[in-house]
Amino acid sequence: MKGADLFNAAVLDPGGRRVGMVIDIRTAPAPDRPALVVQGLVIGRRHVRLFGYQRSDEVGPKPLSRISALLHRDTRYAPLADVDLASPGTVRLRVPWDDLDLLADR
Amino acid sequence: MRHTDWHGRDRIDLGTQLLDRQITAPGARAVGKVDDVELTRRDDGALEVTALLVGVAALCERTPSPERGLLRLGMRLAGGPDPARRIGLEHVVDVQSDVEVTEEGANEAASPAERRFGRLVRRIPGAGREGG
Repeated sequence: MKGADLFNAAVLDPGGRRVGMVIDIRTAPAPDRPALVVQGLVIGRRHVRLFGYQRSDEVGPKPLSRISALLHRDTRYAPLADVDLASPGTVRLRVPWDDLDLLADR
Repeated sequence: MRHTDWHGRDRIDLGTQLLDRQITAPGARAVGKVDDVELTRRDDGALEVTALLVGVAALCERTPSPERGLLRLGMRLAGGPDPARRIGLEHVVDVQSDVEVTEEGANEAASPAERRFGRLVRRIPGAGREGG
């Protein structure tokens, strides 16, 4: 599998309704081997990049930060356990959209 | 075994912190760009990034369709398409604004198209002389 199989993939809720698309893949460095372990997916309602403003150390310029926050006010984070990646180009949620955490809260 | 220096970051968002970054070899020599990543499913079910993928073929895969056609045309004009090159994460030394790799990793990322262009340019009369 490649990152391209996940980036921009359509995200469906458990009922098969399209709810968004994958706009980023969150990983964590493995402590014992040279690898990044996928923790979850960042799912947006629209195709707008994050530009790094989801990181707490990225705060300026303020107007851009605010625009990014506005555009991503409904962007969610889905832990890997809550998604099914079985179909190429499509990600199916195992939980309802409203049960996912807002990215801003992560 | 040497591990990548992530500078204390406990999470890396691939789209904003790894993809499209310049890859440099020792001596700050540019060798390419992170065009995609290889994901591997482990026996325990974990999904991991195990390599960086470099080259227009890798970039094509995650490019929307109008631009993808142009990239494919460019690859054909350059004598390709060449397969994507793979740099195992064990060759990634440091990740900041650029991605530093070992010499071995840089060799794995060497572009066949660049080598073809190099051979072509060397045939041009005067190509071996530096400008004054």
